[in-house]
Amino acid sequence: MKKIYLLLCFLAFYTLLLAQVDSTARDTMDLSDMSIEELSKLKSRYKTTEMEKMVTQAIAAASRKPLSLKRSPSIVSVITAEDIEKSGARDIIDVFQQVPGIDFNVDVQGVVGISIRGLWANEGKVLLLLDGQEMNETAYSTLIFGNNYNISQIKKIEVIRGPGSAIYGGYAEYAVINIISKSAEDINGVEANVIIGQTTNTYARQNVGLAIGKKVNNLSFSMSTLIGRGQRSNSIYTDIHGNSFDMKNNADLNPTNLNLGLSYKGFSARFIYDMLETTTRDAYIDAMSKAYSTNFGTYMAEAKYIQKINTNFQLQGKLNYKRCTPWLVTDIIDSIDAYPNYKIIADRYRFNLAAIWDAKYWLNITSGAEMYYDDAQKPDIHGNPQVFARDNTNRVRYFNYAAFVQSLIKSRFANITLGARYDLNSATGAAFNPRLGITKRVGKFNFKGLYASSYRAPGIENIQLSISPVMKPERTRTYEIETGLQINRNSYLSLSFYDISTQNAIRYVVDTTSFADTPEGYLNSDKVISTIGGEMEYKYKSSLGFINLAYAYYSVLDGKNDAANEVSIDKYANLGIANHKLTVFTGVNMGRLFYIAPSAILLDRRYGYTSLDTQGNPVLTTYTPQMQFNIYIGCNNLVRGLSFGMGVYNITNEAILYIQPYNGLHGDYPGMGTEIIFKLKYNITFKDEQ
Amino acid sequence: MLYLKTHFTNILHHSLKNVPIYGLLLLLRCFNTQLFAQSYDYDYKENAVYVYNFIKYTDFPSGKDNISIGVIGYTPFVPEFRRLLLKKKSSNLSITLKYIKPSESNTVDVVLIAVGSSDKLRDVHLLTNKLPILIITEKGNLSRQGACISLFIDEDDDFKTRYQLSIRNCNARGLQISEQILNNAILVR
Repeated sequence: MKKIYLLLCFLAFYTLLLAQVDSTARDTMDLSDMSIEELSKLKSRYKTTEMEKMVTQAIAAASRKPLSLKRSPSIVSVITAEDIEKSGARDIIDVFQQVPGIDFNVDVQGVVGISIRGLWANEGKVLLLLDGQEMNETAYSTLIFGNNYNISQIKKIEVIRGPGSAIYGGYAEYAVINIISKSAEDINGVEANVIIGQTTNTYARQNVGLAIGKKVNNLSFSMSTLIGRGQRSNSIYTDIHGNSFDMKNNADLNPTNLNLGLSYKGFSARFIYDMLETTTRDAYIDAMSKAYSTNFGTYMAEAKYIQKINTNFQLQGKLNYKRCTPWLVTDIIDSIDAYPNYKIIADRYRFNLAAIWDAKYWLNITSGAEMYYDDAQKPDIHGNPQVFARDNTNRVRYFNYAAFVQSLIKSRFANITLGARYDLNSATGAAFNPRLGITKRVGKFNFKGLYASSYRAPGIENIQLSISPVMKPERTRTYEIETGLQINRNSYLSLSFYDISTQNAIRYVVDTTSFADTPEGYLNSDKVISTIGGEMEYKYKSSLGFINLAYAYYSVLDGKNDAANEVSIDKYANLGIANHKLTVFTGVNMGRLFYIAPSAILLDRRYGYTSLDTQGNPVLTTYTPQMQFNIYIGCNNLVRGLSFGMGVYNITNEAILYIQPYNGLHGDYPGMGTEIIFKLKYNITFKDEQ
Repeated sequence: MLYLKTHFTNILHHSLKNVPIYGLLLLLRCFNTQLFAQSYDYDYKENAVYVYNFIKYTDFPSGKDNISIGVIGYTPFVPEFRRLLLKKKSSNLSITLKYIKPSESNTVDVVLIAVGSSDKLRDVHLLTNKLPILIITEKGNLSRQGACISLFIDEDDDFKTRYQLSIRNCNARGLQISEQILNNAILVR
C-alpha cells in the first residue's frame, strides 16, 4: 500500500514537473533595446509542442491557399514523418490504417485498393498525390496499395476525408490524399533505409531506400529511391469455386520508385518513376494454374513556375506529363487460364495556370484554368492486335477543359470558403462542382460546416468498356460537420459527421459469360448510393509518447446502395466494408533512446460473396470481427544518425482478409500472417555552409 | 564487443522494466486537461519590451513625465518589466509599476490586465471610460471589448507574439497612437 502511495505521489509530482517543462526553457537574448518593428520580425520565441505544430500547420491540399488544420475548409487527418516512424509502419497500408474512414479491399488481379466512409473508392474516387503528382493511373483511374511508396521518405501526409473536385476535378470525388516527401532541406545529406519482413514460411518484404538532398543558396536538389520485393500474403487463397493455392510466391509486390526534385527560386521541377511489379493467380473469378505478371508503371514529370507580381498577387503555371502502363499483362498465358493479355500506354498532358490574389486582409481570391489531353494506345502483344472496345481502334484521345475559382473570406462571424470548378470533357460532357465551407474558432473549440459537390470523371477504359449507351460522370453531394477541441497543449480531439449521396455511380461488373473477349464492363447505376456516418480522431503527443486513436462508423442510408454492393441480411452495410472500425496506435518513450509502440486495428463484422451454392448462386458469408495486434520497439540515434527497430505484426496470426466490396465473385484475399520486421535507417548530414 | 553487447542489453532491460510506469504517466498526461492548462505560454520578456514601446510611442494628453502602470492579476510580466526598467534607467521615460485592484485603475496611466484576470476588463472599462488610460491585455481579442491593445500568440504566424489594436478605443480615450505602433498592429474595430 505504501509503495502504491509512493508511486502515486511520484506520478503526481512528475506530472506537475512535466507541465512546467515547456515553460522553463528560455534564451538569454537581449530584447530590451528592440523597437516594435524589430520585435515583429523576430522568429517565434514561443516553444510549441508537437501537437500545436500539427494543428496549426498549413494544409496544402484542402484549399488553394493553405490554411491551418483548424481553419481548412475540409475534414483533414495529418500523418507526420514521426507518426510513420514511431508506429513502425511497414508500408502505406499500415500508415493509412491510422486514418478514420479508410479501409482496404480487394479488387481483381490481386489489387488491394481503398474504401472511404463505407464506399468502395479505389477506381477514380480518391485522388492520390505524391509531391503534387497524380498517382491514379489514367486508364481506369485506379490505385494499388501494398509494399509500395518509400514511407521513410514521407514528410507528411494530408488526408482530406471529403470531396475535392472543386479544386482537383474528376478523381477527387470522395477524398484526396496528399503525400509530401521530405525536401532537400529536410534530408540535407544522405539517408539510407532498409526494411526486412519475415513470416513463418517466406519473406514478406525486403526493401532498400536511399535519399539524397541538398540546398545551396537558392538551388535545391533531392532524390529518393526505393527498390525491393515483397509478398501480399503467406496464406492460402480460395476462389469462389473452392479452388485453392498458396499465396507464397504467387502474389509478389516488387516496387521500384525514383523521385527527383529540383527547385531554383520560383521554378521547380519533379520527375517520378514508379513501378510495382506484381504476380497474380487470383485473376477475376477463377484461380489460375500459375501466377502471371501484372505490372503497374508510371512516369511523371512536372515543371512549375511561381511569379510573385507583388506582395499581394502571384501567378502559378504548371506543366505536367504522365505516362501510365497499368494492369500490364504480357506473359504468354496457358490456354487453361482465362486471363487476357493487356497493354495500354496512356499519356496525359496537363497545363494549369492560376492567379492568387490577396485582395484585402480579409479576402483572398484564386482563379485559373486547366487543360489536359489524354492520348492512349494499345500496341500489339505477341503479334496480336488490341483495340479499345467501343471505338474499335487502337488509339483514343480525349480533351478536358476546366476553369476554377475560390474565395476565402475572413469575417467576424466565421471564415468562409466559396469555390467552384467547371469541367468540360470531350467524351463525358460537363460537370460543375461548387463548394462552401464555413469554419469558426471559439476558444479551444473549432467548428466546420461543409458542403461540396464532386464527381468522378470516367477513365479511358470506363468509357471504352461502357455497357451503358452513354457513360455519364458520377455525381456526389457531401455534407460534413466537424468539431475540434484542443484539449491541452499535447492533445487534440475531433469529431465529424457526414452525409454522402452519389448518383450515376459507375459500376464495375464482371461476367465472363457476357463478355467473350474481355471479362469486364461498366454501367451507370440507376440507384442513388448514400452513406452517413461519423468519425472520431484523438491525438496525443508529448515527451512521454503518443496516442493516435481513430474510430469510424458508417451506415447505408435507407437501403440506398447499388445492387452490386448490397448485403441482403443487413441493409445498413455495404459488402466487404465494416460498419465500425477502431484503430489504436500508441507509443511510449523509454528514456531518450527507446520507444515501444503497440497498435491494434479492430474491424467489425463484414460480409462478402465468396462461395457458390449447389445451383451456382453466390452465397453470402458473414465474417467475424477482425482484430490485428502489432508491437514495435524502436531506437533513435543509438549512434548519431542511426535508428532501428524490430516489430511483430499481426501477433495473433489473425486471418487478415481483404473482401471484395462488390459482388464480383472474387474470393476473400488474404493479407500477411504474423510478420517479424526489422527496420534500419542511417543518415549522414551535410555540414551547413556558412 | 562483449562490453558493447552487455551495455546494450542493460539499456534495453532498464528501458523495458519501466514500461508500466511510462505507460501510466502517458495515460495521466493524456487526460490532464484543465489542471495545468494555460492558453499559451507567453514570452513575458518579449511582452515587456512591447509594453515599453507602446508607452513610448503613445501620446498621453497629460504629458509623459512619469507614467504609472497598474497591473491587475498575477503575471510574470511584472518581474520581466522591472528587469527591463533597470536596463532603461538612463532613458528619459520614467515609469513606475505596481499591482492594483480593478477599482484603482483610474489612478494610473496604463492598466495591464493579466491573462488570468481578463474577466476584470469590463469593470476596468466601466471605471475608466473615456479617461486617457491605455488599457493593455495579455489575452487576445479583448480590444474588441474595450481594451486598447491586446497581446496574443498568433497560431497562424508560427506562434509569434502579435497585438491587436482598436483605434476607436484609443481615440475615445484621447490617446494618440504613433505609426510605430500602428504599422505592426492588427487593427480591430
